[in-house]
Amino acid sequence: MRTIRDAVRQILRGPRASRFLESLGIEPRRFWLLVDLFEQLSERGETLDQLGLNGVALRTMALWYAAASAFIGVLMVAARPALTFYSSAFLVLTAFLLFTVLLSEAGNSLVNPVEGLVLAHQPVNGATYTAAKLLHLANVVFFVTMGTNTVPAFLGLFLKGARWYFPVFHLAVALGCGVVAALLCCALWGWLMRFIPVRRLKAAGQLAAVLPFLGLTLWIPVRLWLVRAHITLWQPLQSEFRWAWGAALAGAAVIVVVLGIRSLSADYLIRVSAIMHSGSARGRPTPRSRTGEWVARLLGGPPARAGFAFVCRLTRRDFQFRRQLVVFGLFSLAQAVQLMKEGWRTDPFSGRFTVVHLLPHVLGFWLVAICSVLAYGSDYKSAWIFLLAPARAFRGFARGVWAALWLQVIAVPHGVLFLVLAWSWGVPHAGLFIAYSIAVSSTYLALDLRLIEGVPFTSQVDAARNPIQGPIMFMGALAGAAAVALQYFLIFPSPWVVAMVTAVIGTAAYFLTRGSLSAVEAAFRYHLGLLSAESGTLYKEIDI
Amino acid sequence: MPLSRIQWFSQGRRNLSNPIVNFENVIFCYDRAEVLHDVSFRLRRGEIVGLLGPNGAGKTTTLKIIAGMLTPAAGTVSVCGLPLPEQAVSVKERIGYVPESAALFESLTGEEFLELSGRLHDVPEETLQARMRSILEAFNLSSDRVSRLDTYSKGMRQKILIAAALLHNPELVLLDEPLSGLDVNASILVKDLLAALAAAGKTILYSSHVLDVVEKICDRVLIIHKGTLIADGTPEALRTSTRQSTLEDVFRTLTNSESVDPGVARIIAALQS
Repeated sequence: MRTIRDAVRQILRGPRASRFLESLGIEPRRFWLLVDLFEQLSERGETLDQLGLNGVALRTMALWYAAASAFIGVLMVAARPALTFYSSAFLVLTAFLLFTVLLSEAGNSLVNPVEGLVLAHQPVNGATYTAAKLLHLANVVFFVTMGTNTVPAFLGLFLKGARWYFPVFHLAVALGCGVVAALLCCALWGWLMRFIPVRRLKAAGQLAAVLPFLGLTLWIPVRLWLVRAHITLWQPLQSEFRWAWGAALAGAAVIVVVLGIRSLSADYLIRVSAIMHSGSARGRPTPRSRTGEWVARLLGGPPARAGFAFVCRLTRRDFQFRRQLVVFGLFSLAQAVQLMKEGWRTDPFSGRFTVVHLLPHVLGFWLVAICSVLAYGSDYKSAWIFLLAPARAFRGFARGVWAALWLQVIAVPHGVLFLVLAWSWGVPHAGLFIAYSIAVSSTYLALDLRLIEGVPFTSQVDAARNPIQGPIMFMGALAGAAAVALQYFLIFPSPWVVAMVTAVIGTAAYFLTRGSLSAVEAAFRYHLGLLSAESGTLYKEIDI
Repeated sequence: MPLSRIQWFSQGRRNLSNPIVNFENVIFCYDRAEVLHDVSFRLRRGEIVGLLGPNGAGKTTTLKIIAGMLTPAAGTVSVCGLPLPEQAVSVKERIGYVPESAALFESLTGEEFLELSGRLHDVPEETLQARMRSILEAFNLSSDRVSRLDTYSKGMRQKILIAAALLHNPELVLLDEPLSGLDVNASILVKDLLAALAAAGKTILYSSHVLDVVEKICDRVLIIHKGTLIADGTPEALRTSTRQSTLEDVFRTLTNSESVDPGVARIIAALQS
């Protein structure tokens, strides 16, 4: 295995490959120096947030995709579809998964340029740096494509018309699609860098990562509109000019990709400093928060206010926190708004099932996502400031963190909804439902607090955690679905039962929160203990 | 000062009248905020030029523009006759830059970091190893060369940054607070080294807040205040023209920061409240 790897390495670094790289404006010697550097940094745990450089994360993700695609593949084979449909379905799934992962990963590499800042004054041209920096996306393409397609490729042999070489053919086409998806993602970033002002680049990139999900959300309404307008989606494929259409489309795609990638690589290292400074211009002064004063007064003095203000501000500003949640948050918000638009007028006490029954559980689901990533942030090296805080401060600080989450995710949305729902259902029913929903979502928060693995925003994002988050979210969704069913059949038939259950759940939430806050405080101290111990254990020599 | 260890800087003094940096009418903006307003100056070969200014005056921005790391909104900049930002890579091959707040690859060892820097600058391997040995010895880092950078003290990291900036024998050295964190011996070494480099024809642009050091080692001083170049001359000429006895007094006069006493009193009062 090692011999094969060395042979491939020798070919890739040989004169022919070098000539090819040079033809792309890439300086081969520096390119391989940087590739080796990024590999070395990832081996030593300095770039854990970059999926393509994190072997554990890649393998775990590939295994999850393989299990899910095997399940889908078995179902599809049982339904006996046409071979082309079967193959295309998995190619579309692969492309969707790749776009969602690659857009975010390319953004993380390009607008979070810690390595770029170290290398900005070194004589490396933009093409060489970006090529080396984005090479890890090839790993992502390989693992996602193989994970999603290997089992379905072999299952395809059971379909009518499949030849013995179908698996190889399908995998080759899937890898080809993967490469095209990666090029398109890089090109999109190039276009963003060309046209979006530097100060807006991070936000624009995070919105770009939502595009695949936006497409998924808009697909059904657009499809319906096309049907109503009697427009066949595949009309160009059926016309006599289909080859011309195809050639024009391919030509346009090539131009978009080439120009996009050229603008991406042109002067990237000159922009790095500006990207790092983006958003640092003098803004409006932040008004002193009255809520912060109340949090301090009620929950534990200045440390509580510190925790509250720290979490409120960084949940809005921290790049990694936003990157991890923006896709999930915006997509689920869009879905929630779409659902609410349909059914919010129906009174939940009318005996019919309505979407508002889902509200506290959806909030609970969001809280799972938020709490499980809250400890991770961009400026994790600033954790030292917490090492200097007196131990007693963490009690108040933990309460402040809870207050920030409770107010932002539970209190404010419920306050707004109460006004809307009271207008439609009347104050008593709206008030009772909102009280019930607050009690339930507060219980979720009390439980989810235990997912916070340390002081907020003080750990390096580790891409290896992403595959673990999937099952957590899945289990959370299952528990939520069971809770929704129970509440619909056992609680909501009678407003009196709802009132009683609200009181019971509210009391339970209070005691659960108290217990969880102690656990959170312990988690903070434990995490900081690890950090302070780390400075000693890091003091080691590298064996070279 | 172990001059023998820097023998590879032996190109000799070149034409001193030929400007190595041409910085003309430069305007620079971060987002919408203009931080450099029409700044112009030239640096000649063999000069040690001090770049002074209060915090936020635009010193680091000026250095980064010359290093090809930032692009000005207006004006022209050239280094060694090469226009920026068009020839940024060629310029970076000719300069050494010591940043003020350095991001480093923390998981690399000191030696690995220097090797990376030297190799990116195309220094032949044998020369690189010899230079690294000399510099690490001079900075008393030989025994720590295989320790990870995240275990280095601030001064040790600074030494590594200075070493990385000099390894490829640059024509122009840009230093942003280079003595920050250095111990006394290392500071003396760096100051003598700068003098030796200038004598060998290198140009040094030295940004610092330590005015007595600037006064001692710099041939010329540039003072930037609120993004505008307000003084350009030898320390002696500036002292004479402002009728002050030290560069510190010159600086206070020109930047309207004559007395710090009210500020001190205010802080003490706030701490006692």
